Amino acid sequence: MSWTSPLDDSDVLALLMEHFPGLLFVKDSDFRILAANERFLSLYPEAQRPHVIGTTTIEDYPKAQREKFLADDRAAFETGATEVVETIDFPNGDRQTLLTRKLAKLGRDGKVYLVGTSTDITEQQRQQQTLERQNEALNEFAYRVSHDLRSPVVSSIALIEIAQTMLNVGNVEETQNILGRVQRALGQAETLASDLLHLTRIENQEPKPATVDVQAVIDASLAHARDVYGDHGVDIQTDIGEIDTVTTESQRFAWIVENLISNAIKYSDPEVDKKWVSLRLRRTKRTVKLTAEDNGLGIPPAQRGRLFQMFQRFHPRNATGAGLGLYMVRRTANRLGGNATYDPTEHGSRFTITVSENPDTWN
Amino acid sequence: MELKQILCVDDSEADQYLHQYRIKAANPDVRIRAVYDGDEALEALREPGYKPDLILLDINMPRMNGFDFLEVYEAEFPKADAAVVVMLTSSLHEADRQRAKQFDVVRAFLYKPLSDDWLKEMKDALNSIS
Repeated sequence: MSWTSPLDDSDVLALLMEHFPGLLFVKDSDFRILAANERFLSLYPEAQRPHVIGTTTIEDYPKAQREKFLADDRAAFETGATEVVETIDFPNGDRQTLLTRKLAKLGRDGKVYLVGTSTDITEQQRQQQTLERQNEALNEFAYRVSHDLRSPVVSSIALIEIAQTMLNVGNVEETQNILGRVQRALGQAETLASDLLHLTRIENQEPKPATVDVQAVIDASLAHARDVYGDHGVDIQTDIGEIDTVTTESQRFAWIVENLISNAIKYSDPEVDKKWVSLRLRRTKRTVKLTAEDNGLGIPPAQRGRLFQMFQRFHPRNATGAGLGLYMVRRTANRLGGNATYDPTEHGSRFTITVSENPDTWN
Repeated sequence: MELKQILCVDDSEADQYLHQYRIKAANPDVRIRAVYDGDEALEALREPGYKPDLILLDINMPRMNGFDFLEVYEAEFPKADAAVVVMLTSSLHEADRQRAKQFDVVRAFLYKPLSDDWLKEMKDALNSIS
Protein backbone atom coordinates (compact mmCIF):
# COMPACT_ATOMS: atom_id res chain seq x y z
CA MET A 1 0.00 0.00 0.00
CA SER A 2 1.37 3.43 -0.83
CA TRP A 3 0.32 6.48 1.02
CA THR A 4 1.61 9.98 0.43
CA SER A 5 -0.19 13.00 1.74
CA PRO A 6 0.70 16.63 2.22
CA LEU A 7 -0.45 16.38 5.83
CA ASP A 8 1.54 15.33 8.84
CA ASP A 9 1.06 11.64 9.33
CA SER A 10 0.35 12.29 13.00
CA ASP A 11 -2.67 14.48 12.09
CA VAL A 12 -4.03 11.79 9.85
CA LEU A 13 -3.36 9.17 12.46
CA ALA A 14 -5.19 11.14 15.13
CA LEU A 15 -8.22 11.35 12.86
CA LEU A 16 -8.05 7.67 12.08
CA MET A 17 -7.71 6.69 15.71
CA GLU A 18 -10.78 8.70 16.61
CA HIS A 19 -13.04 7.70 13.74
CA PHE A 20 -11.99 4.18 12.91
CA PRO A 21 -15.19 2.12 13.18
CA GLY A 22 -13.58 -0.39 15.47
CA LEU A 23 -10.81 -0.90 17.97
CA LEU A 24 -7.19 0.06 17.37
CA PHE A 25 -4.46 -1.00 19.73
CA VAL A 26 -0.76 -1.68 20.06
CA LYS A 27 0.72 -4.28 22.41
CA ASP A 28 4.24 -5.20 23.43
CA SER A 29 5.64 -8.71 23.81
CA ASP A 30 4.56 -8.73 27.45
CA PHE A 31 0.98 -8.27 26.19
CA ARG A 32 0.75 -4.79 27.67
CA ILE A 33 -1.38 -2.23 25.86
CA LEU A 34 0.82 0.66 24.77
CA ALA A 35 -1.63 2.58 22.63
CA ALA A 36 -5.37 2.37 22.03
CA ASN A 37 -8.13 4.46 20.50
CA GLU A 38 -11.08 5.93 22.40
CA ARG A 39 -13.37 3.13 21.36
CA PHE A 40 -11.05 0.59 22.90
CA LEU A 41 -10.80 2.55 26.13
CA SER A 42 -14.57 2.98 26.37
CA LEU A 43 -14.89 -0.78 26.76
CA TYR A 44 -13.63 -0.31 30.27
CA PRO A 45 -15.62 1.31 33.11
CA GLU A 46 -14.68 5.00 33.50
CA ALA A 47 -12.78 4.49 36.69
CA GLN A 48 -10.52 1.96 34.99
CA ARG A 49 -9.78 3.86 31.81
CA PRO A 50 -6.74 5.83 33.00
CA HIS A 51 -5.14 2.51 33.95
CA VAL A 52 -5.55 0.66 30.67
CA ILE A 53 -2.47 1.96 28.85
CA GLY A 54 0.62 0.21 30.20
CA THR A 55 -1.21 -2.85 31.54
CA THR A 56 -2.27 -6.14 30.05
CA THR A 57 -5.92 -5.72 31.17
CA ILE A 58 -6.01 -9.48 31.19
CA GLU A 59 -7.33 -9.64 34.76
CA ASP A 60 -10.54 -7.95 33.66
CA TYR A 61 -11.63 -11.01 31.74
CA PRO A 62 -12.72 -14.48 32.84
CA LYS A 63 -10.02 -17.17 32.84
CA ALA A 64 -11.09 -18.98 29.68
CA GLN A 65 -11.17 -15.76 27.73
CA ARG A 66 -7.73 -14.72 29.09
CA GLU A 67 -6.20 -17.96 27.83
CA LYS A 68 -7.63 -17.33 24.39
CA PHE A 69 -6.32 -13.77 24.23
CA LEU A 70 -2.83 -14.80 25.27
CA ALA A 71 -2.81 -17.74 22.88
CA ASP A 72 -3.80 -15.55 19.99
CA ASP A 73 -1.31 -12.83 20.88
CA ARG A 74 1.46 -15.45 21.02
CA ALA A 75 0.38 -16.83 17.66
CA ALA A 76 0.53 -13.33 16.20
CA PHE A 77 4.06 -12.82 17.50
CA GLU A 78 5.10 -16.20 16.17
CA THR A 79 3.49 -16.21 12.75
CA GLY A 80 3.54 -12.50 12.10
CA ALA A 81 -0.18 -12.12 11.47
CA THR A 82 -3.46 -13.55 12.75
CA GLU A 83 -7.11 -13.06 11.97
CA VAL A 84 -9.79 -14.43 14.27
CA VAL A 85 -13.49 -14.11 14.93
CA GLU A 86 -14.08 -13.86 18.66
CA THR A 87 -17.07 -13.23 20.90
CA ILE A 88 -16.06 -11.21 23.93
CA ASP A 89 -17.82 -10.11 27.09
CA PHE A 90 -16.24 -6.74 27.77
CA PRO A 91 -15.63 -5.23 31.21
CA ASN A 92 -18.31 -2.61 30.55
CA GLY A 93 -20.94 -5.33 30.09
CA ASP A 94 -21.03 -5.28 26.27
CA ARG A 95 -20.97 -8.50 24.35
CA GLN A 96 -19.64 -8.26 20.82
CA THR A 97 -18.54 -10.57 18.07
CA LEU A 98 -15.38 -9.12 16.57
CA LEU A 99 -13.21 -9.74 13.57
CA THR A 100 -9.72 -9.13 15.00
CA ARG A 101 -6.54 -8.80 13.00
CA LYS A 102 -3.08 -8.53 14.55
CA LEU A 103 0.22 -7.81 12.86
CA ALA A 104 3.63 -8.19 14.41
CA LYS A 105 5.83 -5.24 13.58
CA LEU A 106 9.41 -4.28 14.40
CA GLY A 107 9.56 -1.08 16.45
CA ARG A 108 12.19 1.63 16.20
CA ASP A 109 13.73 0.15 19.34
CA GLY A 110 14.29 -3.21 17.66
CA LYS A 111 11.56 -4.90 19.70
CA VAL A 112 8.50 -6.57 18.17
CA TYR A 113 5.05 -5.13 18.78
CA LEU A 114 1.53 -6.13 17.83
CA VAL A 115 -0.71 -3.72 15.97
CA GLY A 116 -4.32 -4.79 16.13
CA THR A 117 -7.73 -3.84 14.76
CA SER A 118 -11.11 -5.23 15.69
CA THR A 119 -14.39 -4.57 13.90
CA ASP A 120 -17.79 -5.39 15.30
CA ILE A 121 -19.49 -8.06 13.19
CA THR A 122 -22.17 -8.94 15.74
CA GLU A 123 -25.03 -7.64 13.61
CA GLN A 124 -23.65 -9.23 10.47
CA GLN A 125 -23.41 -12.59 12.17
CA ARG A 126 -26.91 -12.30 13.54
CA GLN A 127 -28.30 -11.52 10.09
CA GLN A 128 -26.35 -14.37 8.57
CA GLN A 129 -27.76 -16.77 11.14
CA THR A 130 -31.27 -15.49 10.46
CA LEU A 131 -30.79 -15.96 6.73
CA GLU A 132 -29.45 -19.46 7.20
CA ARG A 133 -32.40 -20.34 9.39
CA GLN A 134 -34.85 -18.88 6.90
CA ASN A 135 -33.20 -20.71 4.05
CA GLU A 136 -33.46 -23.95 5.91
CA ALA A 137 -37.14 -23.29 6.66
CA LEU A 138 -37.71 -22.51 3.00
CA ASN A 139 -36.05 -25.71 1.87
CA GLU A 140 -38.06 -27.71 4.36
CA PHE A 141 -41.21 -26.00 3.13
CA ALA A 142 -40.44 -26.71 -0.52
CA TYR A 143 -39.81 -30.34 0.28
CA ARG A 144 -43.02 -30.73 2.24
CA VAL A 145 -45.10 -29.03 -0.42
CA SER A 146 -43.69 -31.01 -3.30
CA HIS A 147 -44.10 -34.22 -1.35
CA ASP A 148 -47.66 -33.50 -0.25
CA LEU A 149 -48.69 -32.41 -3.75
CA ARG A 150 -46.96 -35.27 -5.50
CA SER A 151 -48.14 -38.05 -3.23
CA PRO A 152 -51.88 -37.99 -4.06
CA VAL A 153 -51.08 -37.58 -7.74
CA VAL A 154 -48.78 -40.61 -7.79
CA SER A 155 -51.40 -42.65 -5.96
CA SER A 156 -54.08 -41.51 -8.39
CA ILE A 157 -52.07 -42.64 -11.40
CA ALA A 158 -51.62 -46.09 -9.89
CA LEU A 159 -55.31 -46.25 -8.95
CA ILE A 160 -56.42 -45.35 -12.45
CA GLU A 161 -54.30 -48.18 -13.88
CA ILE A 162 -56.12 -50.59 -11.63
CA ALA A 163 -59.47 -49.05 -12.57
CA GLN A 164 -58.64 -49.74 -16.21
CA THR A 165 -57.91 -53.34 -15.36
CA MET A 166 -61.23 -53.57 -13.52
CA LEU A 167 -63.09 -52.05 -16.44
CA ASN A 168 -61.45 -54.52 -18.82
CA VAL A 169 -62.91 -57.40 -16.85
CA GLY A 170 -66.27 -55.68 -16.49
CA ASN A 171 -66.06 -55.03 -12.75
CA VAL A 172 -67.97 -51.76 -12.78
CA GLU A 173 -68.56 -51.64 -9.04
CA GLU A 174 -64.90 -51.80 -8.17
CA THR A 175 -64.11 -49.31 -10.92
CA GLN A 176 -66.50 -46.86 -9.33
CA ASN A 177 -65.01 -47.48 -5.91
CA ILE A 178 -61.56 -46.75 -7.26
CA LEU A 179 -62.63 -43.62 -9.11
CA GLY A 180 -64.09 -42.34 -5.83
CA ARG A 181 -60.69 -42.83 -4.22
CA VAL A 182 -59.00 -40.99 -7.07
CA GLN A 183 -61.41 -38.12 -6.59
CA ARG A 184 -60.61 -37.91 -2.88
CA ALA A 185 -56.87 -38.08 -3.47
CA LEU A 186 -56.92 -35.33 -6.08
CA GLY A 187 -59.21 -33.30 -3.85
CA GLN A 188 -56.44 -33.38 -1.25
CA ALA A 189 -53.91 -32.07 -3.74
CA GLU A 190 -56.35 -29.34 -4.72
CA THR A 191 -56.91 -28.33 -1.09
CA LEU A 192 -53.19 -28.02 -0.51
CA ALA A 193 -52.65 -25.97 -3.66
CA SER A 194 -55.52 -23.69 -2.74
CA ASP A 195 -54.27 -23.26 0.83
CA LEU A 196 -50.82 -22.38 -0.46
CA LEU A 197 -52.30 -19.74 -2.71
CA HIS A 198 -54.17 -18.33 0.25
CA LEU A 199 -50.96 -18.32 2.26
CA THR A 200 -49.17 -16.26 -0.37
CA ARG A 201 -52.03 -13.78 -0.27
CA ILE A 202 -51.79 -13.51 3.50
CA GLU A 203 -48.08 -12.82 3.24
CA ASN A 204 -48.02 -10.57 0.20
CA GLN A 205 -51.11 -8.42 0.31
CA GLU A 206 -51.32 -5.29 2.45
CA PRO A 207 -54.41 -5.38 4.65
CA LYS A 208 -56.55 -2.26 4.10
CA PRO A 209 -58.64 -1.02 7.02
CA ALA A 210 -62.37 -0.67 6.69
CA THR A 211 -65.37 -0.33 9.00
CA VAL A 212 -66.81 -3.81 9.07
CA ASP A 213 -70.30 -4.86 10.16
CA VAL A 214 -69.35 -7.82 12.35
CA GLN A 215 -72.76 -9.43 12.63
CA ALA A 216 -73.07 -9.55 8.86
CA VAL A 217 -69.57 -10.96 8.45
CA ILE A 218 -70.10 -13.61 11.10
CA ASP A 219 -73.47 -14.63 9.64
CA ALA A 220 -71.98 -14.97 6.19
CA SER A 221 -68.97 -16.93 7.47
CA LEU A 222 -71.20 -19.31 9.39
CA ALA A 223 -73.39 -19.90 6.36
CA HIS A 224 -70.36 -20.56 4.19
CA ALA A 225 -68.79 -22.97 6.70
CA ARG A 226 -72.05 -24.88 6.95
CA ASP A 227 -72.31 -25.07 3.17
CA VAL A 228 -68.86 -26.55 2.79
CA TYR A 229 -68.75 -28.85 5.82
CA GLY A 230 -72.39 -29.43 6.65
CA ASP A 231 -72.78 -28.91 10.34
CA HIS A 232 -72.45 -32.43 11.74
CA GLY A 233 -75.20 -31.48 14.17
CA VAL A 234 -73.03 -28.87 15.86
CA ASP A 235 -74.96 -26.07 17.50
CA ILE A 236 -73.29 -22.73 16.79
CA GLN A 237 -73.86 -19.90 19.26
CA THR A 238 -72.61 -16.38 18.68
CA ASP A 239 -72.37 -13.46 21.09
CA ILE A 240 -70.94 -10.19 19.80
CA GLY A 241 -71.77 -8.21 22.93
CA GLU A 242 -72.07 -4.47 22.39
CA ILE A 243 -70.05 -4.45 19.19
CA ASP A 244 -71.53 -3.03 16.00
CA THR A 245 -68.63 -2.45 13.73
CA VAL A 246 -64.95 -3.21 13.88
CA THR A 247 -62.07 -1.51 12.09
CA THR A 248 -60.39 -4.39 10.35
CA GLU A 249 -59.89 -6.01 6.97
CA SER A 250 -63.15 -7.59 6.03
CA GLN A 251 -61.94 -10.60 4.04
CA ARG A 252 -59.31 -11.61 6.57
CA PHE A 253 -61.66 -11.22 9.50
CA ALA A 254 -64.30 -13.29 7.71
CA TRP A 255 -61.71 -15.91 6.91
CA ILE A 256 -60.63 -16.21 10.54
CA VAL A 257 -64.22 -16.68 11.68
CA GLU A 258 -64.87 -19.25 8.98
CA ASN A 259 -61.74 -21.20 9.81
CA LEU A 260 -62.58 -21.34 13.52
CA ILE A 261 -66.14 -22.46 12.85
CA SER A 262 -65.17 -25.03 10.25
CA ASN A 263 -62.54 -26.47 12.60
CA ALA A 264 -65.11 -26.75 15.36
CA ILE A 265 -67.41 -28.58 12.97
CA LYS A 266 -64.71 -30.86 11.51
CA TYR A 267 -63.26 -31.76 14.88
CA SER A 268 -66.44 -32.09 16.86
CA ASP A 269 -66.60 -35.23 18.94
CA PRO A 270 -68.75 -37.86 17.18
CA GLU A 271 -69.39 -39.55 20.52
CA VAL A 272 -70.98 -36.47 22.06
CA ASP A 273 -74.73 -35.97 21.76
CA LYS A 274 -74.95 -32.22 22.14
CA LYS A 275 -72.09 -30.76 20.14
CA TRP A 276 -71.63 -27.02 20.32
CA VAL A 277 -69.28 -24.19 19.51
CA SER A 278 -69.61 -20.73 20.94
CA LEU A 279 -68.15 -17.65 19.31
CA ARG A 280 -67.68 -14.56 21.46
CA LEU A 281 -66.52 -11.12 20.38
CA ARG A 282 -65.32 -8.51 22.86
CA ARG A 283 -63.48 -5.24 22.54
CA THR A 284 -60.94 -3.77 24.98
CA LYS A 285 -59.65 -0.35 23.95
CA ARG A 286 -58.48 -0.96 20.39
CA THR A 287 -58.09 -4.71 20.59
CA VAL A 288 -60.85 -7.01 19.45
CA LYS A 289 -60.86 -10.47 20.92
CA LEU A 290 -62.62 -13.39 19.25
CA THR A 291 -62.99 -16.51 21.36
CA ALA A 292 -64.15 -19.81 19.88
CA GLU A 293 -64.86 -22.49 22.41
CA ASP A 294 -66.17 -25.98 21.72
CA ASN A 295 -66.76 -29.40 23.25
CA GLY A 296 -64.98 -31.24 20.46
CA LEU A 297 -61.97 -33.50 20.22
CA GLY A 298 -59.45 -31.01 21.59
CA ILE A 299 -55.70 -31.40 21.11
CA PRO A 300 -53.68 -34.04 23.01
CA PRO A 301 -51.16 -32.40 25.40
CA ALA A 302 -48.13 -33.89 23.65
CA GLN A 303 -49.10 -32.26 20.38
CA ARG A 304 -49.96 -28.77 21.62
CA GLY A 305 -46.51 -27.37 20.97
CA ARG A 306 -46.96 -27.94 17.23
CA LEU A 307 -50.45 -26.54 16.99
CA PHE A 308 -49.69 -23.43 14.96
CA GLN A 309 -46.94 -24.91 12.82
CA MET A 310 -47.25 -25.76 9.14
CA PHE A 311 -48.33 -29.17 7.89
CA GLN A 312 -49.63 -30.35 11.24
CA ARG A 313 -52.74 -32.49 11.48
CA PHE A 314 -53.99 -33.80 14.79
CA HIS A 315 -57.06 -35.86 14.01
CA PRO A 316 -56.36 -37.39 10.63
CA ARG A 317 -59.21 -39.86 10.90
CA ASN A 318 -61.83 -37.23 11.58
CA ALA A 319 -61.12 -34.82 8.77
CA THR A 320 -58.83 -34.23 5.86
CA GLY A 321 -56.90 -31.05 5.24
CA ALA A 322 -53.46 -29.80 4.34
CA GLY A 323 -52.48 -28.97 7.92
CA LEU A 324 -52.04 -25.27 7.23
CA GLY A 325 -55.21 -23.79 8.73
CA LEU A 326 -54.02 -22.72 12.17
CA TYR A 327 -50.68 -21.53 10.86
CA MET A 328 -52.58 -19.26 8.50
CA VAL A 329 -54.96 -18.11 11.23
CA ARG A 330 -52.03 -17.01 13.36
CA ARG A 331 -50.25 -15.31 10.46
CA THR A 332 -53.45 -13.50 9.53
CA ALA A 333 -53.93 -12.31 13.12
CA ASN A 334 -50.25 -11.31 13.36
CA ARG A 335 -50.55 -9.15 10.26
CA LEU A 336 -53.56 -7.43 11.82
CA GLY A 337 -51.50 -6.60 14.91
CA GLY A 338 -52.76 -9.51 16.99
CA ASN A 339 -52.21 -13.20 17.70
CA ALA A 340 -53.85 -16.61 17.91
CA THR A 341 -53.57 -18.86 20.94
CA TYR A 342 -55.02 -22.13 22.18
CA ASP A 343 -56.18 -23.22 25.61
CA PRO A 344 -57.45 -26.69 26.43
CA THR A 345 -60.81 -26.80 28.17
CA GLU A 346 -62.33 -29.65 30.10
CA HIS A 347 -64.12 -31.08 27.10
CA GLY A 348 -62.62 -29.46 24.05
CA SER A 349 -60.78 -26.41 22.83
CA ARG A 350 -60.70 -22.68 23.17
CA PHE A 351 -59.07 -20.57 20.50
CA THR A 352 -58.48 -16.90 21.22
CA ILE A 353 -57.78 -14.59 18.30
CA THR A 354 -56.93 -10.95 18.82
CA VAL A 355 -56.78 -8.29 16.14
CA SER A 356 -56.01 -4.62 16.49
CA GLU A 357 -58.29 -1.84 15.30
CA ASN A 358 -55.27 0.43 15.03
CA PRO A 359 -53.89 0.05 11.51
CA ASP A 360 -50.53 1.41 12.73
CA THR A 361 -49.96 -1.92 14.43
CA TRP A 362 -50.69 -3.85 11.25
CA ASN A 363 -47.73 -5.15 9.29
CA MET B 1 -39.59 -66.92 5.89
CA GLU B 2 -43.32 -67.03 5.38
CA LEU B 3 -45.34 -63.89 5.03
CA LYS B 4 -48.61 -64.42 6.83
CA GLN B 5 -49.42 -61.09 8.41
CA ILE B 6 -48.56 -57.63 7.20
CA LEU B 7 -49.13 -54.36 9.02
CA CYS B 8 -49.49 -51.45 6.60
CA VAL B 9 -48.77 -48.10 8.22
CA ASP B 10 -49.77 -45.25 5.93
CA ASP B 11 -51.96 -42.20 6.34
CA SER B 12 -53.14 -42.29 2.75
CA GLU B 13 -56.38 -44.16 2.18
CA ALA B 14 -55.55 -44.42 -1.50
CA ASP B 15 -52.16 -45.99 -0.77
CA GLN B 16 -53.63 -48.46 1.69
CA TYR B 17 -55.96 -49.62 -1.05
CA LEU B 18 -53.04 -49.89 -3.49
CA HIS B 19 -50.93 -51.92 -1.05
CA GLN B 20 -53.79 -54.31 -0.38
CA TYR B 21 -54.54 -54.73 -4.06
CA ARG B 22 -50.95 -55.56 -4.97
CA ILE B 23 -50.39 -57.82 -2.01
CA LYS B 24 -53.59 -59.77 -2.53
CA ALA B 25 -52.90 -60.10 -6.25
CA ALA B 26 -49.66 -61.91 -5.50
CA ASN B 27 -50.76 -63.71 -2.37
CA PRO B 28 -54.48 -63.85 -1.52
CA ASP B 29 -53.86 -65.59 1.78
CA VAL B 30 -51.84 -62.87 3.46
CA ARG B 31 -53.67 -61.08 6.27
CA ILE B 32 -53.33 -57.33 6.01
CA ARG B 33 -54.04 -54.81 8.71
CA ALA B 34 -54.19 -51.09 7.90
CA VAL B 35 -53.32 -48.35 10.39
CA TYR B 36 -52.98 -44.68 9.61
CA ASP B 37 -50.09 -43.35 11.65
CA GLY B 38 -47.34 -44.32 14.10
CA ASP B 39 -49.65 -44.00 17.11
CA GLU B 40 -52.13 -46.47 15.67
CA ALA B 41 -49.32 -48.82 14.65
CA LEU B 42 -47.95 -48.93 18.19
CA GLU B 43 -51.41 -49.56 19.58
CA ALA B 44 -51.83 -52.52 17.25
CA LEU B 45 -48.38 -53.93 17.95
CA ARG B 46 -48.94 -53.73 21.68
CA GLU B 47 -51.96 -56.00 21.42
CA PRO B 48 -50.97 -59.34 22.92
CA GLY B 49 -51.22 -62.00 20.26
CA TYR B 50 -50.72 -59.63 17.34
CA LYS B 51 -47.38 -60.19 15.73
CA PRO B 52 -47.04 -59.28 12.05
CA ASP B 53 -44.16 -60.69 10.02
CA LEU B 54 -43.72 -57.50 8.09
CA ILE B 55 -44.43 -53.83 8.63
CA LEU B 56 -44.78 -51.63 5.59
CA LEU B 57 -44.00 -48.20 6.93
CA ASP B 58 -44.62 -44.81 5.38
CA ILE B 59 -42.61 -41.82 6.55
CA ASN B 60 -44.82 -38.75 6.31
CA MET B 61 -47.81 -39.25 8.57
CA PRO B 62 -49.58 -36.90 10.98
CA ARG B 63 -49.19 -37.13 14.75
CA MET B 64 -46.43 -39.73 14.77
CA ASN B 65 -44.40 -40.14 11.58
CA GLY B 66 -42.40 -43.18 10.42
CA PHE B 67 -39.16 -42.22 12.11
CA ASP B 68 -40.78 -41.29 15.40
CA PHE B 69 -42.51 -44.66 15.28
CA LEU B 70 -39.22 -46.48 14.68
CA GLU B 71 -37.58 -44.78 17.66
CA VAL B 72 -40.31 -46.05 19.96
CA TYR B 73 -40.58 -49.43 18.27
CA GLU B 74 -36.86 -50.22 18.52
CA ALA B 75 -36.76 -49.09 22.14
CA GLU B 76 -39.84 -51.00 23.19
CA PHE B 77 -39.71 -54.26 21.27
CA PRO B 78 -36.76 -56.61 21.70
CA LYS B 79 -34.96 -57.35 18.45
CA ALA B 80 -35.89 -61.02 18.44
CA ASP B 81 -39.57 -60.19 18.55
CA ALA B 82 -39.48 -57.32 16.15
CA ALA B 83 -41.04 -57.62 12.76
CA VAL B 84 -39.13 -56.78 9.65
CA VAL B 85 -39.76 -53.23 8.57
CA VAL B 86 -39.80 -52.14 4.97
CA MET B 87 -40.12 -48.43 4.40
CA LEU B 88 -42.46 -47.60 1.59
CA THR B 89 -42.51 -43.93 0.89
CA SER B 90 -42.97 -41.25 -1.71
CA SER B 91 -40.20 -39.22 -0.11
CA LEU B 92 -37.36 -38.48 -2.50
CA HIS B 93 -35.21 -36.89 0.22
CA GLU B 94 -31.86 -38.65 0.35
CA ALA B 95 -31.64 -37.69 4.02
CA ASP B 96 -34.66 -39.89 4.71
CA ARG B 97 -32.99 -42.88 3.11
CA GLN B 98 -29.90 -42.30 5.21
CA ARG B 99 -31.90 -41.91 8.36
CA ALA B 100 -33.71 -45.18 7.71
CA LYS B 101 -30.37 -47.00 7.54
CA GLN B 102 -29.77 -46.17 11.18
CA PHE B 103 -32.56 -48.46 12.32
CA ASP B 104 -31.68 -52.13 12.62
CA VAL B 105 -35.23 -53.29 11.97
CA VAL B 106 -35.46 -51.56 8.62
CA ARG B 107 -34.49 -54.01 5.88
CA ALA B 108 -35.43 -52.13 2.77
CA PHE B 109 -36.35 -48.70 1.54
CA LEU B 110 -38.79 -48.72 -1.35
CA TYR B 111 -40.48 -46.01 -3.34
CA LYS B 112 -44.20 -45.96 -3.86
CA PRO B 113 -46.12 -47.39 -5.51
CA LEU B 114 -45.46 -51.04 -4.69
CA SER B 115 -44.34 -52.75 -7.85
CA ASP B 116 -45.97 -55.86 -9.29
CA ASP B 117 -42.79 -57.50 -8.24
CA TRP B 118 -43.28 -56.54 -4.63
CA LEU B 119 -43.30 -60.07 -3.39
CA LYS B 120 -39.80 -60.63 -4.70
CA GLU B 121 -38.64 -57.37 -3.17
CA MET B 122 -40.12 -58.35 0.18
CA LYS B 123 -38.47 -61.75 0.06
CA ASP B 124 -35.16 -60.13 -0.71
CA ALA B 125 -35.63 -57.82 2.25
CA LEU B 126 -36.59 -60.65 4.56
CA ASN B 127 -33.66 -62.75 3.51
CA SER B 128 -31.14 -60.00 3.98
CA ILE B 129 -30.32 -60.80 7.55
CA SER B 130 -26.94 -59.25 8.25
